[in-house]
Amino acid sequence: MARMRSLLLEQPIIFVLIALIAAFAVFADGFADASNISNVLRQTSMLGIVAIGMSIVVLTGGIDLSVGSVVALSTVLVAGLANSYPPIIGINVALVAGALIGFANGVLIAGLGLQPIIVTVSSMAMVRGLAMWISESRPIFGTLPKDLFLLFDGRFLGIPLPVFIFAALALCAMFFLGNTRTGRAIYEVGGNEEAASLAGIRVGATKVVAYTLCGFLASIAGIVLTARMQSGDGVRTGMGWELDAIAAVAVGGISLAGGRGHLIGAICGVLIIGLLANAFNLMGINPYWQRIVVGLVLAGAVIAYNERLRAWFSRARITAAPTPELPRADRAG
Amino acid sequence: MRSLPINANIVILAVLLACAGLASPYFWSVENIINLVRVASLIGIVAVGVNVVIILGGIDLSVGSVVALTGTLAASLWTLGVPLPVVLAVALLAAAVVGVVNGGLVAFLNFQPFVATLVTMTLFRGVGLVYSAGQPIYANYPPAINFLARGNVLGIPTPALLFIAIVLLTWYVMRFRAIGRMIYIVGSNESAAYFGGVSVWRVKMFAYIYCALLAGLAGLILTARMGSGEPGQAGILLELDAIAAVVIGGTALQGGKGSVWGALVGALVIGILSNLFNLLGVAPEWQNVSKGAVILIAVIIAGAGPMMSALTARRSTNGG
Repeated sequence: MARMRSLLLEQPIIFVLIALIAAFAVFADGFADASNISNVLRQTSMLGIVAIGMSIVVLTGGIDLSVGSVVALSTVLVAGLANSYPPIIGINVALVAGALIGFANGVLIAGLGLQPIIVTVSSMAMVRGLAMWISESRPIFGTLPKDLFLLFDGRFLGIPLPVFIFAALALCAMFFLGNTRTGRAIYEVGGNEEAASLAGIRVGATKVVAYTLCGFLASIAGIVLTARMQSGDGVRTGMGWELDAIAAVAVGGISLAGGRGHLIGAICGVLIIGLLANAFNLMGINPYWQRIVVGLVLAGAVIAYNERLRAWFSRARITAAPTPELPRADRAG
Repeated sequence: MRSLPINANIVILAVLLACAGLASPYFWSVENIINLVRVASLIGIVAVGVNVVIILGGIDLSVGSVVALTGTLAASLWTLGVPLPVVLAVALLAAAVVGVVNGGLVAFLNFQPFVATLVTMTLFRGVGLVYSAGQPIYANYPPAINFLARGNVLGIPTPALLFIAIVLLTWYVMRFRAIGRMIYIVGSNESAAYFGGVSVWRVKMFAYIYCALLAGLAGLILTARMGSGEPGQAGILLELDAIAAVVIGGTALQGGKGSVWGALVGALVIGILSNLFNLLGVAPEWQNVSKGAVILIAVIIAGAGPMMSALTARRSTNGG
């Protein structure tokens, strides 16, 4: 319970999310309908899955700009292979491809010591090219089996399947980051690479794991997206998703310097961005305002998570006692 | 040894030029070179600004949005009948505002540069779109603006002249003016710079505003070339191209190192690549693949220099 309380204190974004939901429920007609809520969640789940992977990479102090291209490649592989093989083959090929791309990113970054932005910008371009080449720059419709669409349209225990997948992956990732040796190592590497290395953590291997997971998760998002679009597209899909995912991660208070933040923040960030889009739509606001509001939300979130301001607030509250190191709930999982 | 990374990138440029000539006989024709220079200048002007910010140890993702915003503003003001000097001034002022916001977020609110400029990138793209309701604005520009994009002086295209002037100006500022030297110092060690008496916030403000102004100038050239202001499409992914050019030029993203010549070489490499792709009719998918590959090869080569010298240094201390 105490852990829950400190988590809420460390994650003001949860209150922002709740406040937004309350406000939209009052002001946006039809927002609070069960069908609308489940629809928003379904639409956001794909970016959410990408954001989980992005969070893991950002926590190591890195960044992955190639996720949008991996999503595109994944839709192309699933849709392209589904024409001649059972869909499970295409899904597996897409998963392997995503993981391999992530692995290659990780090896170049950890092994050659290259900058994450540069490596992933270049793989972003190359993977996009690959996706376009495989699809011959045309959408792949073909005869996709109906079972595949269930991935997006289906329900499990009344929950839309994409939401279920997103939630399951988020819980797994939270457990991984909080309670496994590699997960803890990711925080240590992001916090202080040299200290982590001196403490016996295999920094390179940890980074490779993080990037591989990120690529893998992006390809899962691509598979769900294929079911949603009922086609594959190498040219347009996933464009700009890398920046949306990074925005969600930053809104959620995960520091881009690495080592600090909690996955729950990133998930709230994705939901906020998704809910904003939906509510604006319902309220008939010009969709271009969305970008401005997302930009402002991002700025506001970063200010809210600002170390100095928060330290100032906590000092103002605890004046008598000597201030020890702030309890790091984010580090305790 | 110290200048090896930049030499390596000049080698890439030379190899590329030689291969281009062999691959397409049309490459070295005058029209094509002029065309190439026009394309490379636009990205080069942006890359020079981004280069300054990267030397500072920052990054600027908002340049693409600045290009779109200034173009949209210029086109709409001109169609409203505003006099030309005011149009130019307002467009550049808007760019400077983005730079002030970037610099302010980074210097005063302690934003990480990536996040700060991600905010302004989203925000100001939105501002341009809301302002023009998402529609491109077609403008019938006067000869003075058209000259910016299509004119030439003694056969040299205007954008190229502007680019060269900006490279020289930036080189002078970065090498001989106090502010330029301070950008290097802040980039290599911010707290040392602070304790050494450098007014860090001023240096950061200068760099981000400089970068935004250059992006604004590129936006004016682009809108003049297209004869329209495109709030949604102009400058998309330009930030990544500019960063790629800077990195190909051998400037380290950690900051504190690099020179404007690197950005020049990088912009030429990217310009030549896209020009060559067009000449050879390379499909867009392979354009993407080879662009990615060139970036990767360039950083590996640029990194190989320091790595080799580190290895030889270690060997000599071991041996000695």
